[in-house]
Amino acid sequence: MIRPQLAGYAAVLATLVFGAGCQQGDAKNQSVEIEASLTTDELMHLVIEPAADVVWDSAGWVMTPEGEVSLVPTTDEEWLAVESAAGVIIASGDLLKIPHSSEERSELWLTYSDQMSEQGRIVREAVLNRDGDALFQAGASLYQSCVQCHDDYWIEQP
Amino acid sequence: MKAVRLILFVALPFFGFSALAHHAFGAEFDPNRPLILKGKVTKVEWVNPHAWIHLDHEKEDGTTESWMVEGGTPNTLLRRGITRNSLKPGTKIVVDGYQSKDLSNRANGRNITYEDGRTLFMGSSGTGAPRDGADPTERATEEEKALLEQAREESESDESTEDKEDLEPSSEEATKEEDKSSD
Repeated sequence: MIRPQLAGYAAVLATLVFGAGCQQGDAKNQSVEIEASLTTDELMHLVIEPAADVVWDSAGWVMTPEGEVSLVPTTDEEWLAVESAAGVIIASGDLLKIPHSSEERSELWLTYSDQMSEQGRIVREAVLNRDGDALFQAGASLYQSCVQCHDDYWIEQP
Repeated sequence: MKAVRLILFVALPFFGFSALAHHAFGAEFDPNRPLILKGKVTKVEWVNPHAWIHLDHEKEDGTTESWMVEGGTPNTLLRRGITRNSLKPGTKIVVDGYQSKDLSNRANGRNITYEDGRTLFMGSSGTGAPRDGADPTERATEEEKALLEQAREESESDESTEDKEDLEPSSEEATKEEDKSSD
């Protein structure tokens, strides 16, 4: 169930990263303006939020009268899905720094963007160590990072 | 005087609003639909970014209704003394909060009260939830301070003509407190 969703936003992200990469290469010979296909708001809703949700839904516990169930991945495939989401978060921090997102915003925006990438790296490390508790804490830390940024940057929902 | 209280109750939630996209209070919950739920915990989702408590709300006619209540992050709940062990299925609790905008059986929780009488804040800070006094970490903004000051001044001028009891906490808060203590 996670996989089609991951494939969808990974494709969007790959297009953005690949596009930006090509333009960067061309820039040796000519000046190229990067035109992003997604607004910052769309990037947030279509790419970053779904990736963060994968991280958050992959650690924790559900308690019912029948007992307690851990949500931590149990198979390599499940861990890979979380690592993929972590990769999306890491790269999204970079995307938020390209001019279409960062222009007209302060240095703080760049700091928060770096922070997002760093949180993604912490999630990835937990995944690579197959450490469920660390993944749970990384998810909490990721959310704090989101809240901190949204305290300064917030676009009202339509 | 009552008009000022009403303005404060309605207006305060909108000052200092800043929150995280689909996890924002205002995106999902209605500050004008406060409610109190009481019953046994049936399920707990101890997950980021918000814990969810499911309970069977005991209605006055004796029937029960399944509800799910959003709380703060697990880490913040732990810091306030709300643990996974204290929310085991079957635990009887009282929760006050605000119903979802779509009128489904979902709510944003503010305070949770255990059978032993302990009342703990279970909500999230800084999500745009009403500043109803439940969150001990809330600090009034300059606008709120000005409004509160204005309300105080009006209270003082009304003091000579009003019954002193009427100057106690707002009727909404009083009703909530009364309901809690009767359980």
